[in-house]
Amino acid sequence: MDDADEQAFAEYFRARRDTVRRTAFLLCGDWHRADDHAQSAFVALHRHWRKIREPRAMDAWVRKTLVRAVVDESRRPWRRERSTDRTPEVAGVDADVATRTALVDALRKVPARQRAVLVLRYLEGLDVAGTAAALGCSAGTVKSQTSHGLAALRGILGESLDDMREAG
Amino acid sequence: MAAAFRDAVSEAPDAGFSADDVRRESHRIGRRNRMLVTGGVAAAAIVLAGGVTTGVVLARDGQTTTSAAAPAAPAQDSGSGARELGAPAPDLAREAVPSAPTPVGAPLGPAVGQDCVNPQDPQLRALVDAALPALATAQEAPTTMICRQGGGREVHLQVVDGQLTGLFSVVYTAPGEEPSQTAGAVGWVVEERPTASGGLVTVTSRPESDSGGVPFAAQIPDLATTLATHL
Repeated sequence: MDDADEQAFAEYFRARRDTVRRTAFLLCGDWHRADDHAQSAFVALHRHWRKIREPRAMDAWVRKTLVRAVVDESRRPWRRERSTDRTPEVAGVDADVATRTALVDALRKVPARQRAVLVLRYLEGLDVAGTAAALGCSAGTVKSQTSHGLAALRGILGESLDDMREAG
Repeated sequence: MAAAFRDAVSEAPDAGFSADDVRRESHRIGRRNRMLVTGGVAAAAIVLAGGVTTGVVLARDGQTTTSAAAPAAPAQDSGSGARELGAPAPDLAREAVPSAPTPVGAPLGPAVGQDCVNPQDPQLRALVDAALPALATAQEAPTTMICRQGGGREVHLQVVDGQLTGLFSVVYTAPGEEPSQTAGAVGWVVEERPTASGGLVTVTSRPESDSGGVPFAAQIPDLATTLATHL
């Protein structure tokens, strides 16, 4: 890349790094792994920078790379996720922090594809079509995955989920 | 709901990487791939040369093996009917040479001297392109470099097969290493084969959308078998 491209990449990186990290965190539930995934997505973008020039296309490209990596990783045996009935106890924290923790913990128990749909729709604010494009599936699949994901969250969080939905 | 999701990530720790880190890693991968591509081209040349120059014919009774030079000129219509051993070599060779190149020499085997498995291994890519030339023009698919230790090799391609598009992955797992989990994914075509080096090769094709079929689904079993002899 020439200097102008490096400069443009640096600006894009500055603008988008935290957003990508946050999405990665809700997708995988761990800040260290989220940083790994986010950094890798930016590295991949840097390597393909000349081919992807339009900012919206860059967002979509990074999002797709990130989601695919996290979902794929969840299938690999050395990182395969296991659901557990036990939620780690959080002692001495206020209600807001407890709510945040509960949501993140609950998301980790939702199957990876459903979790990705929920994160893209509720954190990134994508509509059904945008989510379908990011995940490479149909709108119908996104709708059913959303429904199943929310049902899974409700099964874990109980009435707290309804409180969140009303608040949101 | 959206507010709850935003709130859940409102207190992020400091980022563990900077733009300089990204740039450095990108350049490191670029340098490594440029070095590896030399080996990849050499491997492909050997494989292709083997496919062109050597045909191995197994006798129908399994008792005799005949080696012959493959025809350099375009083949003529050979007609029908069984041939005896010792018949003109070009015809025998044309029948015996498989659609994919014949393996020559030792299998490629595990990658060495790498800190993490390369998700776009140039040497494996050369083998894949030689075995299924329709993939030669496929672009590398977006992947991330989650560090998986070991001697594995991977290639992930964004493929187009007529109206079908999708992600095409070839993953070689070195002997003694845990294979990737790919079975059971709905809508994917997955073929696994034990390889000549004692590892495992897994070929996976998954459609980009739910509406179409799976790209190159029909070719995957033969591709997996061919790659297994090279790896």
